Amino acid sequence: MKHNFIDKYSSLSSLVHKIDTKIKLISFITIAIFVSFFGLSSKILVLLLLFLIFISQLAKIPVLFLLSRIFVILPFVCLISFSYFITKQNFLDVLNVVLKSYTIILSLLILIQTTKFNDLLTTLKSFKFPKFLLLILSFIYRYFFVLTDEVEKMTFAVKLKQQKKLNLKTLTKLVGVLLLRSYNRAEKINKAMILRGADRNL
Amino acid sequence: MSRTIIEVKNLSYKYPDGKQALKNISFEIKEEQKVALLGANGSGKTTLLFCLVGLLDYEGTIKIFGQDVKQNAKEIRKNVGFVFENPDDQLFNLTVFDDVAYSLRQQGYKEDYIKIKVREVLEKLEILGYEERQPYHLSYGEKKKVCLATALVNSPKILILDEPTSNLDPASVREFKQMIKNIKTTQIIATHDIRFVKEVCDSVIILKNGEIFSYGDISLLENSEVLFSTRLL
Repeated sequence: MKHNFIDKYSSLSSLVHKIDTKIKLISFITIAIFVSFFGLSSKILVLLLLFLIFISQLAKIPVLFLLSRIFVILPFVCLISFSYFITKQNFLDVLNVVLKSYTIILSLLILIQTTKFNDLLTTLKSFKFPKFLLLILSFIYRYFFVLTDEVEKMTFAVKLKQQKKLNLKTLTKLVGVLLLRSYNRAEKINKAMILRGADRNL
Repeated sequence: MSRTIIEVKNLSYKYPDGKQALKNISFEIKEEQKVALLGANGSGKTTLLFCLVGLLDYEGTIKIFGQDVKQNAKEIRKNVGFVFENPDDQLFNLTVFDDVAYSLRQQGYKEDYIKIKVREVLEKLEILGYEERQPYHLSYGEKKKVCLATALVNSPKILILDEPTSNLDPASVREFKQMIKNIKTTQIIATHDIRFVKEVCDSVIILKNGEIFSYGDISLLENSEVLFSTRLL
């Protein structure tokens, strides 16, 4: 089974893909800081969003794909907006928070979808990003696919045995087995690292 | 074949739950000897391999190149290449190049030297051009070759292979077999594949329930009684 959930469009060829990873990373950080800490008006945020959408189209990232990824964070945005609405009770402020969230998420999506993950990690390393966090990021990326495969296989196995739909009890068991398998795999990876000379300082 | 390079005396190991995995194992392996470690599932093959490289806390003595494994494990591992059964346990980097270069980088070699060494080993295993590919997206056979490359890049004096032919298609098994035959080092190969053993190895250790059932040259495999009683046939 093949998966490319995280950086599906990173191997495309476009003007945005060709921009140096350092420039893209600095741009993302700048946008994130400005949007988070400066009181930008909703009009400016809308303009920034439109600009990012234009960039995403220049990078040939399908709109539907972007929407599907953006919807993943919708529950969190709704929760934050709701709490904000209760305290301030001002619709424009809530809108501002929503726009801010989506601007940051869209710029992050553009960064990830136009940069190979390995290049991104190399750039983060050159920016003196903590080694330990880089290792965790690289492991998440490397083993995300392996775990997805395992979940798929386990779900198939359950479906073959069970005629009814997956219930909570079965799901809990699946999560338990997945955790045990992950632990087992982590132990073996650790052994492989030690055998190849890894030290405690990573 | 001349000097003894692996010496195991009264090796025993218990799993953390108290179950005895290995009992009083003793054997010797000489330089450039190719030894097959045979045994049914759960007979202790992988556990024995992990003990040899000092990954488990065993009882008894293991000496490699005359050095005690418990005391000099780090130094000994520099001269031992280990290929795991499941490539996904071994290939943990994001590109093939990074995976093959990993042990050299850990030893502090310069990038120019690492590039030359990685290129050399990839060329030898006919996977040159795979440097920037992600291990996850390779076929199982290709992953196995990359695993072998990660073990060979250090020019090890001992090569340990855990189930090298499991899950491979017949063509890949033939290819892998040829590669292993061409590698001139001491080898310990844990496997169930009798045909593979007959073509590659010169001696055999057969394990049964954590103990050595039989130990000798390859002619042992002609004895079908031995193979039946150890569930190898």
